[in-house]
Amino acid sequence: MMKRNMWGTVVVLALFLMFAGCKKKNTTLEEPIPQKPIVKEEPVIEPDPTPIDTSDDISFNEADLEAEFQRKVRENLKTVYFDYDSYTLSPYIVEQLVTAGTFLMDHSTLRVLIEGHCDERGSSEYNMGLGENRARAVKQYLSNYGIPTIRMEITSWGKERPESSGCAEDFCHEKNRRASFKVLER
Amino acid sequence: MLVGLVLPLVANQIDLKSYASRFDSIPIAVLNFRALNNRTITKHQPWKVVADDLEFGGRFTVARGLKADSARFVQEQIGIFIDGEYEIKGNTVILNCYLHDAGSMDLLVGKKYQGELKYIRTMAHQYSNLIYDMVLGEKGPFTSKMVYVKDRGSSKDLVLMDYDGHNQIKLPKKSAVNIFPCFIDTNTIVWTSFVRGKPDLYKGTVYSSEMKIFIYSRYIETSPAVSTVVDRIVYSSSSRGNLDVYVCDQNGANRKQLTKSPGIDTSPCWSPNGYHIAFTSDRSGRPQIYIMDAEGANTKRLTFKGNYQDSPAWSPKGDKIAYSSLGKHKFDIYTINPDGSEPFKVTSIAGNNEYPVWSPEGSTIAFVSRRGGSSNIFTIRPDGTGLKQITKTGNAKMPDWSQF
Repeated sequence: MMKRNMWGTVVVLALFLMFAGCKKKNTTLEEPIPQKPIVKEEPVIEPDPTPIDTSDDISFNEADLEAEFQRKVRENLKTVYFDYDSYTLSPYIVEQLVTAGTFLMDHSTLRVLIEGHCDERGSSEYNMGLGENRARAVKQYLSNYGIPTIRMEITSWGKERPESSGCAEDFCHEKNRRASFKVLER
Repeated sequence: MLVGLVLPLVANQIDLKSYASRFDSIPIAVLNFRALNNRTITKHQPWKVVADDLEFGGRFTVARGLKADSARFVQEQIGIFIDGEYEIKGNTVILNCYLHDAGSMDLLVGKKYQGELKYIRTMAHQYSNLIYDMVLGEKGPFTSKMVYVKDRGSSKDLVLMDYDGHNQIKLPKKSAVNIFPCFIDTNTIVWTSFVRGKPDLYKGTVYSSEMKIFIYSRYIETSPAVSTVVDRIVYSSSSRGNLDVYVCDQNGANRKQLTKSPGIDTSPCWSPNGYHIAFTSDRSGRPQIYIMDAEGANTKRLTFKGNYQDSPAWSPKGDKIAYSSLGKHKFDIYTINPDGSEPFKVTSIAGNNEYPVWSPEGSTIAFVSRRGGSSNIFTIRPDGTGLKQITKTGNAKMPDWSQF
């Protein structure tokens, strides 16, 4: 029994060697196996199951920036209000113009239009001149503050664009005696 | 299409000029016009138009009636009367108007008009002008026009109308703040517009949408006034500092600065002969009326009473300057002689009364009266009588009255 087992083992071994010898022989006849290319391992990125359209994000940002800019303009280039028939800059107006001047300094590409307005009392003709005097007084102050005059235009609407019309009381009239800013270029 | 034919003079039993010279206000009767067929005019009855016209400037005292009444004529010293007849065929009307001697009933002169029915008021106005010419020897103002600003809040439109407020037409100009309109002739105007976001001067024909920029700068160009005698336009500009008075030719050439005061100089207007210019200046501290010659020399302050005067308007005869003056609480219309004498308060009605302009023959001043939040154009005689409301829809201001 043991003898029979030994012969079995020899046969299996012979067969193994035979096949092993055949394989080696075939290899020598084939083209050389090309070297496996070196592949740099990249981290695997799993595809997002719900892709996001980013176009909305871009416009949202632009609108946001614009809103932020307009907010800064409103906060820094505030409308200033004058006394009746006057274009004198009160201390309160000067305080506001310091803020405006600083803002214009910090935003050196801005060009602004300063518009002078009047209340509804008095003639349209004279108020056209008074409104311009108000705009000019603001421009003059900002020019002295250091803003180049080339960055500031002035005009007057006289009493043709009141903020409040049909006024009877002075608190209503005073809303119209003003100089306001409009951004022309940025 | 409107055609007028003068019928032959049949008789001339009354000397019209002599008759007119007897009265401050000439008595005349205007009778109802007859319809020659069954189509009658109900809305713009021509006899009413003629009666209103003649009554307008106060030069005539008009008696209205159905038929010639000799007893009434005698009683009211009426020496002449008008009657007429009309016939409507389709859209066309034939209108015959007659002036009679009230004593003899004889026809003095007749005139025949023919045209589209929509021009019936114009026909009647033309006949009123004829009567004015025959009786007074002067041109009548009844076919003249007014242009004014209709305030619609953020925009202000220019509106053209007959002198009596009829036939109002919004001029087809670009929607903007359009103010201070001024006639160059009956078909062309110059005005201030904010089309570019600032005030410049524009010119255009009234019925077209055309508007040509005429005087412009980075600054204010406003308050134009035209002299057809010297063919020049005077206006207010801040192109060399604050507002000063400038003059140029009607095509914009030959611009010249006339005033150089440190104050606001504005509201210039011409004397009728073109030799002088009246304007407003606050060089004394408050707005007052000044006059200077047409070259900018010999400036003289005209008004001293009150501390706010503006909007001077020189009368066509040159004898008066109308202006608005702020009293205790409101503006009123005044007149003053060009030498500064005899300031006279014309308006005594409620509200703010501003923007005076003269009728072309000088019998009447149009102005804007603002009361209770509504502003309308009124007319009044320089002596303060004959107040009449011309516009009724409110928001009217800055009228200008055309020449004949």
